[in-house]
Amino acid sequence: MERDEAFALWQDKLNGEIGEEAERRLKAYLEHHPDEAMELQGLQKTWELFDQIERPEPSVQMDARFEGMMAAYQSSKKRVSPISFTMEWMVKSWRVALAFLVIGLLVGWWMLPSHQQSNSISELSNEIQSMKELMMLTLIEQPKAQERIRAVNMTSDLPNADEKVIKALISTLNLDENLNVRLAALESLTQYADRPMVRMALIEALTIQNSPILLVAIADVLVLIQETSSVEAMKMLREKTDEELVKDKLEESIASLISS
Amino acid sequence: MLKVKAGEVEKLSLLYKRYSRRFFGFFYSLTKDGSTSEDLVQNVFIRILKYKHTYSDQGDFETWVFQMARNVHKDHYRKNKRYTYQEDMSAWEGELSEVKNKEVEMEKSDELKLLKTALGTLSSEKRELIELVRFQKVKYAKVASLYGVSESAIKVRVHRVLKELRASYVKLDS
Repeated sequence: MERDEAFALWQDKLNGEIGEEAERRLKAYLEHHPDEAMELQGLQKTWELFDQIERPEPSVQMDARFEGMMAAYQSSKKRVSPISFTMEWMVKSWRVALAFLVIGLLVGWWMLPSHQQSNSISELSNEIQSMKELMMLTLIEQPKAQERIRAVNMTSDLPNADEKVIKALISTLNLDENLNVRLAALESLTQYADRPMVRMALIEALTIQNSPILLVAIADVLVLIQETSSVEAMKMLREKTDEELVKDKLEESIASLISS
Repeated sequence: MLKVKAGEVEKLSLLYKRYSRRFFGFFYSLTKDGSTSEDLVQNVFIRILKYKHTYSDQGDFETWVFQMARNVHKDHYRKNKRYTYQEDMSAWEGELSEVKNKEVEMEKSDELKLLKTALGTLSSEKRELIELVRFQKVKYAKVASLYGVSESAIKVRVHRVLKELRASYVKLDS
């Protein structure tokens, strides 16, 4: 047996992966080479000592970051999922589609008998509202940030937007990868600040966001809507953050909310 | 992994549970920095998503994924050569004398301290090898395929690294 082969067999022995025949051969070799046998004994001690080396543990943030990465990945995949050709065309030229729809509805309304006019006006306005909401919900899933900002801005025409729209805005505020889109979503959400769901989402966003600019903007909105229940979340963030800008803004906002 | 490849990306969470701690240990042994190691673990999973189409059901997943981890570390090392490896024992002389001055009797914890110090004297490549075979318990056949050499060549290489480690250890101890 060659020296290298003996060493290779010895490695197998350490891992408990040596066969009977090989072990016999190794033993015979070492009996004839006492110096190497001694060397291997020394190495075995080192090998066994490895078991006592403490293994490092990651922080809890590692798992949270993975979850965040998965959520972002899945939402980005959703955005590029295949949509029907018509929908794609409508999204690409949404202004044209909307104009056609409005014209169509107006013509239809014009041709209606007069006794149905009042009902039709309200139906027409509902139809337009639904169409805008649908447009907004489709555009907000687009891969281009510019399109998503456009979708967010469309909500300025939807003062009575339904829950789906609000949820889409909240999800954009929390998950969109682009800061400008998140800022636009925050601005749009401000107009619905009378709804408890929005107020809660804004407080929650303090714990989710990490961009200093966005955190400062959220604090501004919370002061603007006088959301005193956000004080606790602000205090927690003030302790946690290392950003001086955010610390100062939270200090100021907490003082303003407490004194009001 | 085949399910992830087929588009069921949520199955990646199962792989994360199974491998994230192992990868963290792997990167920590090479970088000695917890936060960097966490970043690199994240990068491995981003890469898995990006290159999931390259995984073949013929290949071994553990080998594939550790190859990815090795590449992530190589990229990181190329970009940030902030941590340097010490092949030269003289750099550890200071630590040695400090250990010697402090301790009169060598106890178990001191032995471990010496072993860790000795591990630090190994080059990145050698430390990686020990990490894979000893701590990650990756089979020699798989490590051999990672390095593109024969199984017996890997065993001999491990043996030599151990010998070097033992020599550093003894030198520190004496």
